[in-house]
Amino acid sequence: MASKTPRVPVALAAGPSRSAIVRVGRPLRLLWRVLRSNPLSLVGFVLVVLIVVATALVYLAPAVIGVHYPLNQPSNALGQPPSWAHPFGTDPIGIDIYSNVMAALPVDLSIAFAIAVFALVFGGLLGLVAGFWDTRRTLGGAVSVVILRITDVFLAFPSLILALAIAVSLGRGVPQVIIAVMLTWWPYYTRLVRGEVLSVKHRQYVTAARVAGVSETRILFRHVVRNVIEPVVVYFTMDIGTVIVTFSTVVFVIPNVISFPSTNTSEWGVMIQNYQDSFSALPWTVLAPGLAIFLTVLSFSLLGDGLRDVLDPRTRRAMLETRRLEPAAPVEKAEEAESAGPAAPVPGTVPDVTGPS
Amino acid sequence: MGRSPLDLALFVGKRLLQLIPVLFGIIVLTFVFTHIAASNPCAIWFPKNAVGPREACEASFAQPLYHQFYVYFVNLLSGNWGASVSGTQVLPVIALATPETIELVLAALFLMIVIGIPLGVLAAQSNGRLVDHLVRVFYLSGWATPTYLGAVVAVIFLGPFLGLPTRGDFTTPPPFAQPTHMSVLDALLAGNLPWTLNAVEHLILPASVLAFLNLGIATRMTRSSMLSVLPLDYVKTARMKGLAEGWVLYKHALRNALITTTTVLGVTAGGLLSGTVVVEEVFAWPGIGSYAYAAITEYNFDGAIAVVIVYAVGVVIANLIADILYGVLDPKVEWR
Repeated sequence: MASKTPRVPVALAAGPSRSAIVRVGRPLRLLWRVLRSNPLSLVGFVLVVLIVVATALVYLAPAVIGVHYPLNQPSNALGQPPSWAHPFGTDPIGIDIYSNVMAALPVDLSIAFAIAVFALVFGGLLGLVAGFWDTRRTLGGAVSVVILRITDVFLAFPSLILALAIAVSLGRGVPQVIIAVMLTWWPYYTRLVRGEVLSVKHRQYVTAARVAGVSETRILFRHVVRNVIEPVVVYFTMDIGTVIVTFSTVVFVIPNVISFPSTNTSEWGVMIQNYQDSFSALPWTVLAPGLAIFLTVLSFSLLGDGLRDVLDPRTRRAMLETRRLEPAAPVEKAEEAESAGPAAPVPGTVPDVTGPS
Repeated sequence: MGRSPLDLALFVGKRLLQLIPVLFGIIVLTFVFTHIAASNPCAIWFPKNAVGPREACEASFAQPLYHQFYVYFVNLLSGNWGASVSGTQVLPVIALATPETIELVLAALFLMIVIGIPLGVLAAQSNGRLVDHLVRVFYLSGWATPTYLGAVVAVIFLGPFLGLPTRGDFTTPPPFAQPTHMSVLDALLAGNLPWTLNAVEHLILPASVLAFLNLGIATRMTRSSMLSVLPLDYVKTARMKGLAEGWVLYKHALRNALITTTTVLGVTAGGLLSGTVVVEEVFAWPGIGSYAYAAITEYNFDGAIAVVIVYAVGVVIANLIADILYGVLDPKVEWR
């Protein structure tokens, strides 16, 4: 199989400049392959690009796309249905819903990225350690066991429920909710990364590097991490949407996270909570932020779900047969993401993988 | 081969034993996050109107942490799960509410299986074509829908449109005893058909919403394991024998694909249980989801903590069942 000669030996042979090209080129080629083969992923990709552009516009030039500050400006247009002047209508005291929904876009996206990136880095590092140094009767082995046991306990909690409990005990506020979700989010990455590392670390190129006298840390970061990163990034893409939904639900359930509309910031979950009582009279006040969440999450999910098909060996094979794609190199290990549950049947370890996994 | 009944007993027993440290860990973690996360939890837990409990609370927090945990743990084991600010005991309420939630979750799981798995088969069958894309959009839509929006749209638009009730588990309190606190089961036990229908009607919408929100996992897993099974020789053989395509798909291919899909049970437990918090609240379903929502909004911290533990235990049990089921269904798993 072509995949038995991954990029690392090439990189070793050809020096840093070549490896840098390979590093950037590979994910891009993967992305292009998926987009070409799956129209829905293309739709998702276009939507994500649009969302990013809209976010930049809200941040840099709000007036261009009709976002008017201050957001909590009452007007005479009380409870208006959507119109040209107010695309998403107005609330009972005449506040423009469109401006609030759009202004929340950068807020929600950056919150979601902050949470997911923290989970990726923290959980991912723990997963690297637990996967790479898991030899029994060594210090690393002991550390790995501790990490895995703690991760197991975290995975037993539905993340929304644990986030709610933590947010409640931390006190009410957006930073507290962010911390609460962060604290519950990392175990999925630990689990995913550990599984990937376990499947990579006995490959021949790792053994070759070890025989050549490369230090363990260097093997980990140069040879293992690079071959693990692809499925993790795919999971991350999907995860952004999941974080947005969970965060908004936590904010929705916990009352008075921020008094709204109070400042010049806005958040979708807070909007939904704030307007829930006026849903039957003025449905657009809830539908607009709700559909904003829906569209954002759907965009990231469409992109991520298509990417996953390429990484999952089971679906990839079917794709190859119907579409005659070139095989992607390090993919046969990605099975862990889906079938890890039965492979390691320890109670409480099957994650409620927070995505259609 | 290690698949005798005795081996099965060992297999199940080992998994039950493995539960103990996980359950202990759950209690420790819940304790840690609720007791040392906040600088002065009493001020948050008992805001203004509860001077007595607040003083008691502050006295208990003056104790060293290990002592606090000891008290907390012993109370938990002895059935004293605390009380709300107004003095209602937590454990009896949760004990009555939990079966209601189990009923709702099981109903949602049933719908997920009945709808999600055939959709997965359909998607695999038309891999890369229109139906596959439509199925994908459908399950990702469920995934992307904020729980509250899905529930409230069902209550306000779908309920009246379909003529289905959207509040509680019965229209009026039923005239018979409710020993199990699962509405459909109670009505069946009472042998009362109209009330059973009434209970089922009340169950349909909340269960459908919960199922729709979590459908993606079942469909996606079925699809990908079907795709891995369809090219195998035994499926080709079945086709060559001239069997009807539906028979090949459902009787031959799906049977093997489903073994992997049983893990869905464990994987979705967390999603389904999380969903109950908002769905039950919106549908006024008298389960622990509504209770959790109320506990959080009413500063009932003993209640909120207890609910977290109950939910985690629920996930652990679902995973246990999934593990055992997988072990039983997959002949390659040795029961030892």
